[in-house]
Amino acid sequence: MAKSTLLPENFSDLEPFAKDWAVATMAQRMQRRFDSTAAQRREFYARVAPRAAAALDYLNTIPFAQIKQDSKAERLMKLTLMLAEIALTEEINGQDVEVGHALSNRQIFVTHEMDGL
Amino acid sequence: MTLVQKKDVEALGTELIPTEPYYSEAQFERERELVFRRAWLFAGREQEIPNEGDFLVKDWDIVDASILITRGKDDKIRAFHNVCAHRSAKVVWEERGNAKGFNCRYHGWRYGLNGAALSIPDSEGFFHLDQKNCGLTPVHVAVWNTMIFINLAPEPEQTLLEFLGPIAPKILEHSMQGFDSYFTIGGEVTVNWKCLIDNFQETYHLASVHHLSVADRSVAEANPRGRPISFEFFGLHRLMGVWGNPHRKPDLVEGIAIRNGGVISQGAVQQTAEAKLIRDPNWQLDVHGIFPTLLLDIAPTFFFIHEFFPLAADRTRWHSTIWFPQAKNAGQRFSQEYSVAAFRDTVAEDLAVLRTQQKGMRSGAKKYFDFQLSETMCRHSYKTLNDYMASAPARAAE
Repeated sequence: MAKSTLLPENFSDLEPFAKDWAVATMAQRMQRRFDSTAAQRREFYARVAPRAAAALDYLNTIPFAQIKQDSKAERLMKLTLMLAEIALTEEINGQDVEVGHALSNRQIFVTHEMDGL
Repeated sequence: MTLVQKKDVEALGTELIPTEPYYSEAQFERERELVFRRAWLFAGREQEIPNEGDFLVKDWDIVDASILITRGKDDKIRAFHNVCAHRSAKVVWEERGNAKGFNCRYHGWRYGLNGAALSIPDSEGFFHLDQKNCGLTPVHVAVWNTMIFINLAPEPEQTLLEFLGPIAPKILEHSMQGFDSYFTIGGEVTVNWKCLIDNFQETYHLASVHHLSVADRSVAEANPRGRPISFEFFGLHRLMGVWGNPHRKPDLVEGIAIRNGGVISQGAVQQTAEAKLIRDPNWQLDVHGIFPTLLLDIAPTFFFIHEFFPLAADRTRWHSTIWFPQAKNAGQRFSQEYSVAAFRDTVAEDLAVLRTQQKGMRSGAKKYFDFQLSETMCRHSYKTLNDYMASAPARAAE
């Protein structure tokens, strides 16, 4: 396997997702979810969900304010936050991007979110 | 386990409620004058404008009011009509931000955080200008328990505390201190503001609308239609204790979110720092309905503030702000993200149904709503709205 360059070394198995899924804001994560295909979401969940507990355990060892200063840790954090969106489609919404009878999330706007990460 | 019983709410009446006030233009006109120009209206939390120069803009289209709320150099919170003294253009167009002062982009009049007119271009060219009297028009503002309220009446009929009355000490049973980190989501829906609020204050829909998603937080064999555990009524205001399922098994990632910090709608709250508040082992959260348009839902690990802004008889803008303690680590941050995303999905299910309601009512097919036990907050809202409009001083009722 190629040497990990985007994520902390123990998370090199998630490297294939690091470039396209580690986006900066909730509004972007929501957009990323709606721009994905069902197959992409399924693969993301299958690979990232089993690693989420370990990722958070690792990130919890870093003082929260310092995560932003470590680009690999920050990327892992964003990737894990992306899992929050994809876990909903895979665990809650029956692998649909949203529950079939729902109004599109695209009509809901995130107008304020926590700074950073 | 206790759940509400019919006998607990019969004093409010049991009659059918007419649908007409939920779509009629004439009713909307009455609400404009008899509610929104009189009542104290929630406008934000102090924590949204913590620093000198922070500001918020809230638009109440029903009364054509855009209100600018500022924190001044003296740390004082003030509210103004967001209207230029020169030609009545809107001064601040952003929803929130930080500024040393505000420039009206039309002709460049500049105002301070205290509303005073600081500079007027080519002031020599005016005929009657008195710069001291060219400030922004102040609006009554009061802060209670970190919450900012405004009142658009020339002279409010009651102080904020008189208006809140006996629900104020109920809210103080919970601490809102330490919840300083927030997410806001929102949008516009083609539904009357009262129907939208009603959706957020009744538990009868949970088992059906959310049956594929989050129903199992609030519905279980022991309580198959999610009846609340309590109702209390305080004049214009109301309180519902929502039942939570203590036995639900979270999915993998949801479980990680729960273990890392507590998640919205995880079911019943077990032993926590707020255990003293738990009137029932199945308590999940308290929904406080503050007349006319504020819902404050408090749980131990977060609270919601839902705000509703009537745009027209059939159109409403809403904001939901979810308040958390500042995340201390990555895990708590993840838990918060999961909670907000899950809430967004839940609301999307509600909105899909709500937007069908307006045409349904206007069709005239059905003349009445039949509110059942778990919808008692809706009945209370309808009755208190009528009571409040009837109580208007003659001047407002003209």
